[in-house]
Amino acid sequence: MMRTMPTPAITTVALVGNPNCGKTTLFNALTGLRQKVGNYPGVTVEKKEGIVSSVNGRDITLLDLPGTYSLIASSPDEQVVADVLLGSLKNTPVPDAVICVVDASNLERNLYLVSQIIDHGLPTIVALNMMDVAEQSGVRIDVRHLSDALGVPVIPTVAKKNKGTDDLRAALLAGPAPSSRAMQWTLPETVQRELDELSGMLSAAHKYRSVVAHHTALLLLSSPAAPDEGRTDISPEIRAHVRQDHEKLDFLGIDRYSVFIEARYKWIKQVCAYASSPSLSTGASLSDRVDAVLTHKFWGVLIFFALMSVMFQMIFSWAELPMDLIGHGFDAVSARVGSVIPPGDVHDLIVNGVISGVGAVVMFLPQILLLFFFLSILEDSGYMSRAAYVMDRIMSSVGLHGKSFIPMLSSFACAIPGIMATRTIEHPKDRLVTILVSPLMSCSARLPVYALMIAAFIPQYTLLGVVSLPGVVLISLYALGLVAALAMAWTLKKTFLKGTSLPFLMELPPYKMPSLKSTAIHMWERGFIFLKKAGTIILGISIVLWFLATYPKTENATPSERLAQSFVGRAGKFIEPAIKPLGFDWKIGIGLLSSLLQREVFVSTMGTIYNIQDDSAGSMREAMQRDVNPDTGKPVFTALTAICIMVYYVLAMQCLSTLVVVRRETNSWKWPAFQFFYMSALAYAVTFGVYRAGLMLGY
Amino acid sequence: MDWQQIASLCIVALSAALLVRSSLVKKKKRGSSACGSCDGCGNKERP
Ligand SMILES: Nc1nc2c(ncn2[C@@H]2O[C@H](COP(=O)(O)OP(=O)(O)OP(=O)(O)O)[C@@H](O)[C@H]2O)c(=O)[nH]1
Ligand SMILES: [Mg+2]
Repeated sequence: MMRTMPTPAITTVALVGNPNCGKTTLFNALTGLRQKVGNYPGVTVEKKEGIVSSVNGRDITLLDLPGTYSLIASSPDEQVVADVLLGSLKNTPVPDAVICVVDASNLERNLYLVSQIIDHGLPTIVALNMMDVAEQSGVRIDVRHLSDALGVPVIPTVAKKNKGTDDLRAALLAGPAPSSRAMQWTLPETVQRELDELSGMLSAAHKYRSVVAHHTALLLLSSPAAPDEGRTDISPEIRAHVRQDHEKLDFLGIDRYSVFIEARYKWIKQVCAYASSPSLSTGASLSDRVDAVLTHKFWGVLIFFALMSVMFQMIFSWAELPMDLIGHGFDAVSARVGSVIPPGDVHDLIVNGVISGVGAVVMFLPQILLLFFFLSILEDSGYMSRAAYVMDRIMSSVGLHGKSFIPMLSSFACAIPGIMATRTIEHPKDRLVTILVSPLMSCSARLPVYALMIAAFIPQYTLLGVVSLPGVVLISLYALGLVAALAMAWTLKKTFLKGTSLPFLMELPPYKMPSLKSTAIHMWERGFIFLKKAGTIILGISIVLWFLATYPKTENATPSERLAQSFVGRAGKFIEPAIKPLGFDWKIGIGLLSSLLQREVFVSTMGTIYNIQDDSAGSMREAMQRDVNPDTGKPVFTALTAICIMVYYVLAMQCLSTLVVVRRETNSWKWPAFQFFYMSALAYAVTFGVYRAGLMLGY
Repeated sequence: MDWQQIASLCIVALSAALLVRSSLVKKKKRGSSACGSCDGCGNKERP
C-alpha cells in the first residue's frame, strides 16, 4: 500500500500487544537494550524507554509497555497501557504512533487489541511476530490481505532471531499513518446511538479529546454499575445520564459488557477468514501431552516440589568445589598480603577487614550463579506459568490465586522484582496480600547466610545414599519461607484484608528450549551485580566494621577481650539480653545488627570479627567452629544455633530496598511498617520456639 | 600513632564518606519510573 500523506515527524512510539507476544524482545532488538524477557505473561510490568536511532538523526523514543488483552484494563500493569495511549500519564507525551505486536500463532485473540488500537486513531504498524511458531503449527497468514483488512502496514517478524526488525525500523522511519479502517465493527443500533451520545456529552462537558471521550463512554456503558459520587471527574448530569442508559439497555435485555466484545469479535472473525488459513494440525500436540502431566492435579504438584528440591540440592552440591577454590584463593591472597605489609593497623585492616569481609561473601558466588541458572531456565522454558497453574489449588486454599504465585517465585531471586510482578494482579486486596508475604520467600541475599551456616555446622551426612543432609536443610529453609508466606496470606485474608478472589485465568505459553546464550548472559549479569555489590557496599561496610571492631583499643588483652571492648562488641553485648532467648550470643548480635538493612552483611561481618578474634591460621569456618563462650564453656555455634540463625534469616525483614519499594507500590508507609513489624515478630517467635524445642530434644 | 594507624583511619573515613554519599545519591535518583534501588530484576540498561 502506498501512502501519500505527508509524514509528520515521529518522536515517540509505543509498543503494545498481548502478554508474552514478544514486545520486549522486539524492543531490545530495536534499541539495543537488554530489558528482561521471559516466556510467561506479565514479565514487563511498567513502562520502559529506549532510543531507536535513525540515519537522518531524528531519533525515536520507543516505549516498551506491559502486555494487555484489552485497553479496558483490569490490573495496574494493564492500566499503564491505557494511560499511555490516552495521554493521562503525567511525564509521558501521547505517542505519535503505535507498533502493535501480534502473536501470529494466535491471530484471532491478538486482533482484539489491534482493533481497539486502530480505533484509537493513532498511526499504527502491526508487527506480526512469532512467524516461526505460526509456521511450525501450520497457521498460514496472507500478510497483504491482513494489511488490507486492517488498513495498516503489517510486517512479519521473528523478534528472537532479529528477522524483520530492519523492515519494521524502516516502516517506522517512513512514518505510518492512522488506519482507514477504524470502527469497522458494528454495534446494535441502540447501543451505538447511546455510545455516540455519551461520547458527545463527555467531549462537550469535559473537553475530552474525541478518542478519550469515546474510550470513557465505552467504559461507562459497559461497567456493571453507573459511576457514583466518588467519581469526581465526571459531572453529575453525565452520571445521571449513564444511569438512565444502563436502565434502558438492561431493560432491552442487552448484555452491556459482552455486546462490545462480541461486536469486535464478529469483525475479527471476518478479518481472519480473509487473511489466514487455520492451523491444519489436529489432535493433541506434544506440548498438550506434556501439559496433561505437568498441570495434573496430583502429579503436577508433586513434580513441582520435586523440581524445586532437585534445584536446591544441586545448588548446594555443585557449588561446593568452586566455593572451596575461591576460599583457598582468598586465603592465599591473605597470606601473601600479610607477608608483604609489616604488622600494624593497615595490615589488619586489609587482612581482617577487607579480605575476610569481602572474601566471606564472594565465596558464595557459585551458589548465586547456580540459583540464577535454574531460575533463568524456569522463566524461559514456560514452566513458570505451569507452576502458577498447579499451585492455584494450594493458593486458593489460603484465599489467593495462582497468579500470586508468580511474584512469589520471582522472589527467590529478590523480593523487589517479586513485588513489582504483583502489578499483574487485578484484585487490589490480593495484590496487597501478595506484596506483604512475598519477602518471606528466600531471596538470593539469604543464600550466602544459609550456605555459610550449613557448610560450617550441618554434618555432611548422606541419607538413603542420594540426598545429603545439608541439601535437605537448605530445601527445608526454602520450604519454611513458602509455608510462612502461605500461612501469613491466609491470616491476612481472614482478618483485615478480606475479600473474594476473581476467577483465575492464566495463559499457558508454549514450551521453549531455553537458549544457552541468554541463560549465560543472565548469569553473567547477576554474577556481576553480586560482585559489584561485594566490591562496593560490602567492602565499605567491612572497612567501617573493622574500625568499629578495633576501636577503642584495649592494651594488654587477648584478641577476644579486645573485640568485646570495641564499639561493636559493646553494641553486641548491649543487645545480648534480647537475643539470648534465641540462643544467640553477642557476636551473633553484632551480625544481626550490621545486617539490619542488608542480609549478606551478616556473612562479611562474621568474616571480619572472626579474623580479628582468631589470629591462628585457618578459615573463618574453622574459627567459628572453635569459638567457645567463656561464660559457659560451651561452643558459641552448635548445629542448633546455626539452625536458629537460619530460621531467623528466613523470616526477618532485613532489607531496606524492599521496604522502600513496598512503600512506593502501596503509596503509604503504613504497609512497609506493618510488614517490618510482623516479620520481625514472626522471626523472633519462631526462632524462640525452634531453640526451645531443640534444647528440649537435647541438642 | 604510627603511619599505619593514620593511614588506616584515613581509609576508614574515606569509606564511611563514600557509603554515606552513595546512599544519599540513591535516594535522590529514586522516584520516577525505574525503581532505583533494585538489583534484582536484571533490568540493567546498557549505557
Ligand atoms: N519462537 C519465537 N519466540 C519469540 C519470538 N519473539 C519473542 N520470543 C520469545 O517469546 C517469549 C516472550 O518474549 P517477551 O519479549 O518477554 O514478551 P513480552 O511481550 O514482552 O511479554 P510481557 O512483557 O510479559 O507482556 C520469550 O521467551 C522470547 O524469547 C519469536 O519471534 N519467535
Ligand atoms: Mg515484556
